[in-house]
Amino acid sequence: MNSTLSFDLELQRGDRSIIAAATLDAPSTGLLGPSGSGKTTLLHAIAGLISPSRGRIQIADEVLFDSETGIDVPPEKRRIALVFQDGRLFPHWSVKRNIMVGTAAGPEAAILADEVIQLLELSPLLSRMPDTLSGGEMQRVALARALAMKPRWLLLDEPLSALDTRLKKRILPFLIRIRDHFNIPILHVSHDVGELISVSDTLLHLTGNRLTGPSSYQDLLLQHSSGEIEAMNMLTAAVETNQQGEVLLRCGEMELVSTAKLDPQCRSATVRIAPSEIALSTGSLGDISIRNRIEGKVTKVHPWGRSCLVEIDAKERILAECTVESCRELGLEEGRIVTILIKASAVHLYLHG
Amino acid sequence: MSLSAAEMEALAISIQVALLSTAIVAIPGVFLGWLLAIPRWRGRALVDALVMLPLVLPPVVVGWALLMLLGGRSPFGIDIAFTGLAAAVAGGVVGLPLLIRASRIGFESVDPRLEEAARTLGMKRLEAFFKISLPLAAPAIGQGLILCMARSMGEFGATITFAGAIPGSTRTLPLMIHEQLQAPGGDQLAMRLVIFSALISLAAMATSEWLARKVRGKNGGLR
Repeated sequence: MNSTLSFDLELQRGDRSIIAAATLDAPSTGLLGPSGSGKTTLLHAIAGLISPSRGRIQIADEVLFDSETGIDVPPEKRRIALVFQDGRLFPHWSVKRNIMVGTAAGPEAAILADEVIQLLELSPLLSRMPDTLSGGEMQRVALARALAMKPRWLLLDEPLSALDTRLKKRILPFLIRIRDHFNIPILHVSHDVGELISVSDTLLHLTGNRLTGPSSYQDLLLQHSSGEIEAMNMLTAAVETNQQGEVLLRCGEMELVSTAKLDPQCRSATVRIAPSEIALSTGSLGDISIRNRIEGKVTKVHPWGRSCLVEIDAKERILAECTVESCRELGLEEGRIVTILIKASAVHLYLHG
Repeated sequence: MSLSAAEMEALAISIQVALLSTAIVAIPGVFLGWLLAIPRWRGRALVDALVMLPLVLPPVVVGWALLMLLGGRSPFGIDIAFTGLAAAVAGGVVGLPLLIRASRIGFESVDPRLEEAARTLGMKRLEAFFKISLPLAAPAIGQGLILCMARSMGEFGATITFAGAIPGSTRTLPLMIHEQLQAPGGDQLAMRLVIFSALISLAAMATSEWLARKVRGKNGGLR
């Protein structure tokens, strides 16, 4: 079933107007932007909670909003689920009743609800009341409630922002499960770049009253040379060995050593390395304590704020941040062979499952 | 302590009047409470002041106004003065502000964004109101209904002006107490009804306080 979401809107937010147009057909799209840029406003417009001042929203051929013909399908008829930052569970209903609120009657809906409950590991919580749940449990229930209504689109409005880092790491795998298990396209808002990259195939960027994208993270990053998007390297890795305080990871043909703590059972991880924590060398290295020394070829040097982002092909695409001065001194330009130096402690494991 | 037939009658009338008057104002009271809980709309302050008027006006003025509107010279052609219904209307009108105030606090304590969430989950606007906002405001509304009932049961000035003190029809407990006090040595007689009234009022206040505590525990703070 085609569920391409397309919109071309003008939204009023306070005294400014936001122009947003995009066609989304990827299974999972991230929406990135500074706080106050209007990300939530855009999601609310798609869900039908606010009306745009002008424009059009449609899923495949079905028009949900059109200012010219006056079509404005009410939120309850759009079948677009929205998971809010604060969960918004109904406080007078049990977890079970909260999850079932949007489900249709019939055995099919019950099977789906059961599946959702299993997947999000909610069985032990079903009879509890929302005010007895922790923040992470609440968000899982909110996700389950949204999924159980079998929406055509799932909109996530910073579903993890109210949680601390430790809890975030526990919920993210659930988001990935949802993406992989249910065939429901997701539009996910966050100001946490790492969170978005790990769950999204493609990204939108809302800033300065304009929406750009969808495009890949690296393309988006390099379009914004002023440095407003946080730069990072995100790699998927398999865990090779995990002992004596060091984890050996394999990302394609590249090997990396990390000092991050990881469960012994863990077989895969998402690796995050900030470009600012990577050093480059063009000469011979003497004795050095840095554990990760990777050969690569410079493919491009991008101006990046007051410094440069050096794009290197080391079997994986790696971005390293250098000052303009050191780029000049090392003669960093296309085709130059460099050694990428990364301390094992700079190899962060963002997510593991 | 046994009551005479006339006293029993007054008690029965009081209870009937209180129940009827609460039933009459229940829906308009909850509606006005909900309306006033909506922040920022034109005319809100005026409506708020108007509905609170019966609370601050001398009850005899309320009774007189009712007599003008729903008495023999009614501009609507409705004359219910000096009937049991009139006693109920008089009690309802003076109890209404208490119901409105409590309902309003109840609706204000419900996060309006819950209805938004309900809409995205497939509920129509009215359905979201009846399934989400109304049940969450229910303990406060219950508190308002009890206060309204207690207030209308104790009403004197508006009742005597608009409904009179007709034995067997509109003579409620407070009117009976007043009558007994007029008779020589009647304060002895009245004492029993005074104690009775006090007990009913205390029970109402206690129930209302219990409901209030339930509201505070459930929905957190006010918005």
